[in-house]
Amino acid sequence: MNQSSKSRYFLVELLTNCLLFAVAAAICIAIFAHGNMTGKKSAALSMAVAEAQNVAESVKAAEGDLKALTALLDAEERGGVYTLRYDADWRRLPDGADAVYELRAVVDIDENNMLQADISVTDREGIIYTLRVLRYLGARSGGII
Amino acid sequence: MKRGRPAISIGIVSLITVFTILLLAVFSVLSLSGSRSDSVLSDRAARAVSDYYLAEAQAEQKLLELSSIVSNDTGTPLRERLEAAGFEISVDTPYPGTVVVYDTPIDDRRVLRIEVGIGEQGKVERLYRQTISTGE
Repeated sequence: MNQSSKSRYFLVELLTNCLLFAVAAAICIAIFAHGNMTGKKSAALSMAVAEAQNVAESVKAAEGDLKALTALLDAEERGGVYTLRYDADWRRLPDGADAVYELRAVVDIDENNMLQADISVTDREGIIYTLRVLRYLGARSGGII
Repeated sequence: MKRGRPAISIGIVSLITVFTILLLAVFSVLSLSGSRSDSVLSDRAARAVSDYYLAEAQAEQKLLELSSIVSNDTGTPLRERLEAAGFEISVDTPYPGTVVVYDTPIDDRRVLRIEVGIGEQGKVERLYRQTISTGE
């Protein structure tokens, strides 16, 4: 076999492998990207649950006192709606800032003296997590609860 | 005899490519399974929190019901009215009044047990709240 024939076979092998590698790399990068996206979504869900739970406990602790709740949440109240804004790393942002995540708590006390709070956490794509809290305000909190 | 050259030649380049592709595939599958596990875990945690607050909301509804039974004095003794409504009354308690215990289910394995005290003046008071595993 002469030298030019060897070079030609080597070139064919090289090109075939380049093609194979490109296809495999495209598939693997897609899998990596999917894994990364899933990880980001689950991290956002975990943080949303933690923040919603934090607000839920504040609502319960305030026992219907909206001024106390405003102080606890450090957020302004507009018609029973509290809005908390967060950046991409879940740090609190001031009112009016461009937020990545937003938590809205709609607090209402009905005629039966039952406090209801509907808490929802959203990102730019939609709702991540919702939580509903009820607290009967006609009962005193004694004991350990 | 002269041996024919194979249609696809396999040399060092092919071996390196196959090894690299295998490495890429293994790491991508590991990455995907790790993120899937994280996703399942955070979904379960979110569901557990939602279930707990739902059970607590049911408990608060029952507390409202109990409070209305206590306040609607029809002449029947309180104990009888509570038992007729399906509430369990706790005995041997140091609380100066009536202690009512009720459960609300959280999920298949847990219940939320609430103890409520009814004082001498008919004042309803939350006494104790506990998550109990039913062991199923």
